[in-house]
Amino acid sequence: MNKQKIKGLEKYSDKWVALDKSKTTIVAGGKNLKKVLADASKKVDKPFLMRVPPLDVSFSP
Amino acid sequence: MANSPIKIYYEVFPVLNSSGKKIGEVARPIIYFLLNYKHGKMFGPMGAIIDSGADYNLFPADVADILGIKLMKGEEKVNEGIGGKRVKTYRHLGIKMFVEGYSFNTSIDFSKEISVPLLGQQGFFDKFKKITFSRVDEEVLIET
Repeated sequence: MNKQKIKGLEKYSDKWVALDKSKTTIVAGGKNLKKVLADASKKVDKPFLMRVPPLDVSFSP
Repeated sequence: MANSPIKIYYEVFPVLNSSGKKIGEVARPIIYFLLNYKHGKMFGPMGAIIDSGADYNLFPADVADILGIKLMKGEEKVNEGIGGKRVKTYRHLGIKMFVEGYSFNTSIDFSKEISVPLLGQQGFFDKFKKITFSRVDEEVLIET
C-alpha cells in the first residue's frame, strides 16, 4: 500500500493544485488553471496538475 | 509476453466540516497522464478520477482552453449526474492520452459546469484489457 497524502490540501477545496514530482507537495494553487500552471512552472519542471474536489461535501460524480 | 500492468495508488483527501475543520479522510483513484490535441503541444501531467460510473470522459472547460480546443465547436451533448442534474457538454475527438508508456486516441466531453476531470467507460475503460480496483490495497491495476 502506498497512500498518497498531499500536504496542505485543506486550503485548496474545489481549486486546481500543482504538485512537485513527489506528488505530495503543492507548489501552486488557485481557481485559474493557466495561472496555476504558469506559477508552478517557475518552481518545478513538469508540475503534476489536479483539480481538488470540494472537501466539505461528499463527492459523487 | 504480456506488458506489466500499470499500477496506480489511491490518493487520500481530507474531509472538512462546514467550518473547515478536518473530520475524516476519503481515498480516490487518481491517475496522471499527458494529453495533446491534434498533435499539438503536450499538456500535463494532469490527474483525473477513474470513474467506472461515468459513461464518457468528462473534463472542465479550462482543460479544453489549454489544449487549444474551441469548446463550442464540439458536438453538443447533455450529461445527467446525481440527483438528475443535467449539464451541457461539448464532445471533442482528436485527443491523444498518454498513460505511462501507453497511448491511445480518445474523446473528451468538456463542460463549463463541471470542475473535476473524470475518466469514464467510453474513451478510457474501453482502451484497456482490464482495470482492477483493489480497495483493500488502495491500488488500481491497469492491463494494456
